[in-house]
Amino acid sequence: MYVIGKQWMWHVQHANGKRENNELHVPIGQPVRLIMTSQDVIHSFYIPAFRIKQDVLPGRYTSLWFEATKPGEYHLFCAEYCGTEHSLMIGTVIVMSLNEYQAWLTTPGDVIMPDGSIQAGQVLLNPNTSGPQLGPSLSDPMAVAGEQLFTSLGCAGCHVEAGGGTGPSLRNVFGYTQTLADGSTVLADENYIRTSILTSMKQIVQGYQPVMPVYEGQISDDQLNQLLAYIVSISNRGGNAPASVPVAEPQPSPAPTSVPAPPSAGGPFDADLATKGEQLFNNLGCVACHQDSGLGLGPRLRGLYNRQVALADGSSITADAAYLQESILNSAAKVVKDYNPIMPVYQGQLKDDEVRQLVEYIKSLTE
Amino acid sequence: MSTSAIPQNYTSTRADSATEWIKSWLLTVDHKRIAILYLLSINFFFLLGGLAASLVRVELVTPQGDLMTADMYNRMFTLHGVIMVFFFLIPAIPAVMGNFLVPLMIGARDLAFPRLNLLSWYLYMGGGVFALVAAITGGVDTGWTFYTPFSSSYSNSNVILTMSGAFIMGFSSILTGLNFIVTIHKMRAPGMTWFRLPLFIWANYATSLIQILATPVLGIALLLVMVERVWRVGIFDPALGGDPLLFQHLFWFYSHPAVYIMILPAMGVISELISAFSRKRIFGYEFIAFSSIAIAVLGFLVWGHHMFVSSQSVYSGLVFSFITMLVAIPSAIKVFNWTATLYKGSISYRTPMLYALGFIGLFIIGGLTGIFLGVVAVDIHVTDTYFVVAHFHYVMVGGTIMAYLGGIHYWWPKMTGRMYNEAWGAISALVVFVGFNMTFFPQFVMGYLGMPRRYHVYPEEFQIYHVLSTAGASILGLGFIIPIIYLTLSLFVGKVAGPNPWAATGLEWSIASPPPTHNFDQTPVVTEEAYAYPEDAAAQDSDSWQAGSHL
Ligand code: HEM
Ligand SMILES: [Cu+2]
Repeated sequence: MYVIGKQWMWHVQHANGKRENNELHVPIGQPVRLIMTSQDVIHSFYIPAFRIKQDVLPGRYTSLWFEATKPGEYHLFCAEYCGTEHSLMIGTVIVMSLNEYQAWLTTPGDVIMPDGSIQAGQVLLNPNTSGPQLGPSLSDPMAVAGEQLFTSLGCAGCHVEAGGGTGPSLRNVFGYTQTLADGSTVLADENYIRTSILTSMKQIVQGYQPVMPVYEGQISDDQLNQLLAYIVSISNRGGNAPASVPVAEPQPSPAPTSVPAPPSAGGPFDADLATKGEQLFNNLGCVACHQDSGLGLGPRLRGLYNRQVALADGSSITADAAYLQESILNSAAKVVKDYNPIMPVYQGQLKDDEVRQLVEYIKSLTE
Repeated sequence: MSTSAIPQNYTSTRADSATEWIKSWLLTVDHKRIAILYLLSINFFFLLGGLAASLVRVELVTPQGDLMTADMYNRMFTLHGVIMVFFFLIPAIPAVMGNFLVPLMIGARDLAFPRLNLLSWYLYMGGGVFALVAAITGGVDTGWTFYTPFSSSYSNSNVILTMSGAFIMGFSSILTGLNFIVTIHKMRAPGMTWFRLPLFIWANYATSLIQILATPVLGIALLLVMVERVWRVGIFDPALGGDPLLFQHLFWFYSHPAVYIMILPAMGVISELISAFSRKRIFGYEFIAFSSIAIAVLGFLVWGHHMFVSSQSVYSGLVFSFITMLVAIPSAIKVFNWTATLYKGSISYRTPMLYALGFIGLFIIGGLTGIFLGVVAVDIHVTDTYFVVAHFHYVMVGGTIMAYLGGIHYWWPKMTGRMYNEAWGAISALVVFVGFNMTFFPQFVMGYLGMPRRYHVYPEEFQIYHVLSTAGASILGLGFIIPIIYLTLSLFVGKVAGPNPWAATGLEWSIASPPPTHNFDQTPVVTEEAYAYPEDAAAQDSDSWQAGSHL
């Protein structure tokens, strides 16, 4: 979770994009890590009942972790004198069961939209999951917003994920030791990412030129947090993988996306092409959204072939080869119910062969 | 009891007119007169700081902010902190008692640089005027710690004026330190070897070292904040490319040693008092002397204990924590030695002794809670809560102010030639002790329960402790006012003291009270160690004891 302190208020952003002010809802029995920064002066995040306190500084991240053990409401104070209403910069920490927390995450309120703005709204949990979602993963709207920023700010132009760009690929950077141009090494933690974005020439990665623009003063703390969330999400050391989270009792889950598979689902496929398709699927990064766990930003593709798919406009369609092909090339044409039209357009990017390989691969994915 | 019994002395003048008389004080280069100037001005600032504290305490009786606005409240506690730290605690003992006593105790005619000494007082007053003007024209709301970037970029109050005040007063402190060091090195009477010096001198020597070495760092830090504030040069504010923690490092590099500027001279006073009122040579003279130096040195290495939660690395936290524990050793050595001095001494519970004994108890509480705070794990919870507030009031009020009051009473006959009213003295010492504990002990409790410091409004569950604390503060305030009354009265009606009312050792007691302008008729020659009380003083005293005897 991300915390931003400012005169005289605490903002908390949850992994699913939900935002709250002067309150902190946390699940019981889960390690919670707070990544904190301030927009103005120094504050200090203090929960007396948990015996923890950490100053929150402008211009850098500090972090704090705890695991709440008893449900209830606790004081949250600003402990570092920060001006006129210092004594009103207080709030409540609400410790709830995992399920209640899950439910709370989907209540209406302030939400960080994928474009980074904050609007009143409601975040729906990914309907495909029954398990709880905690920690950053690709289903994390903070990360999605970050990814969009990454593209719109042009970062992606240099930091090509597959490598070979003007800047280093950012996959698996967070949490790893980086070697710098002067030969020293540094652990890529939150502050390293932050400084590298804002003033990259302070720490140049070995083998690269100091050509990256200075973003200091160009992007807000919110945006910085989103970029960070994105960079964390594309590292296999980022946060808790959803799988490691203990599963709570089943959710009263919202309407399932995919209509249960008719008996006719599945079908023959070309194994050769499918193997090539699998490689493409991984290399192109499709796998990042279309996770087999169902937690991704895109729907799960296993067992999809020849099944009925409910679309956003309320209609439904059989996922035949033509549908698969169209969805790859121009996914916006038919958007699956409960998903956002965020998949890139691959029309003109992929060769016909490649599309065929991908389609065969998807066909091969049976339950 | 008539004035005629008091001989010509440093307070008498041959001035014919009022202007002459005023000039003879304001342009004096006599260390004793300068000490009196300091006494008056420092007490004025003490009362002002006390007034601000009272307003803060009254506001806190209720959880809501009903007496004043949040801005006003913030200005009040800042005024309190700035005045008390920079204009009272730091100069109090060195500038008043040090000025008066250093030359007398070492058998010198004056300080090494009498004019510099007068300049120090003017700098102190100049700094004070800046601080007062800042307070009157809108106040300042940064806290005495002036943390950036709040102070440098965000606060809309008289930061610059106040900082200039502290900056200027810093020079007064540096010059006084310089003066003492040179004086102690160069102007000791024949035979006054280093290990015959009274411990008060050792304490002031150690203090002077800190004043000279640490104060410039504060000056620089404050100057940098002013530069950033005025010219928006990025030094501390990350929005301008600065580092907000840099200020904390610079500030505490001075201000931790500064807490020893406040306590070391107090410890020196206590050594004098304990020895004089036990009529025994102080136990472990060398240990006490060197522990002052050890505290002064170690004090420079622990500033990071104010920054455990600032995002300082865990490793530096550990090192600072360890060195902080070391500071407790020389402090404890002193306490043990004072206690050992009492053992089999001929103890008389005169007012100065009451303050000294109060000091020992309160300083132990203050010091031990300092060790709690030095433990990173504990500090994370209680830092920036009332626990810290209680800790430093136990050492600064329970320590320094108790010693200041004890010292004032002890040397009052020497300064003025008259005795104060002993009964009232004892009563007010007790009132101070009770009021003090009632004010600050509840603060340990509420701090531990999580009550943050510098809160204008607070959750209701803490009210009971605040009410207790304010009640205690009223008693404490009374305890400070009573001495002002009877001490002032004693100037007119007090018994003539004579040269040595306490039958104490020390060169200052060998001359008339008040001392003549030139201090010693002949340069004294020292042949004895300090505190040369007869071995069997206790037995002698008990043999010759009779109801109403002097000691
Ligand atoms: C055994 C001796 C002492 C130890 C181990 C000790 C330790 C500490 C520690 C660790 C802190 C930091 C607490 C925090 O901010 O969380 C602290 C604060 C403080 N101490 Fe001490 N201390 C000792 C003696 C003194 C003395 C003698 C004085 C002054 C006469 C003093 C004055 C202060 C002040 C003024 C603060 C707080 C400043 C502020 O934040 O406004 N301490 N002490
Ligand atoms: Cu300290």
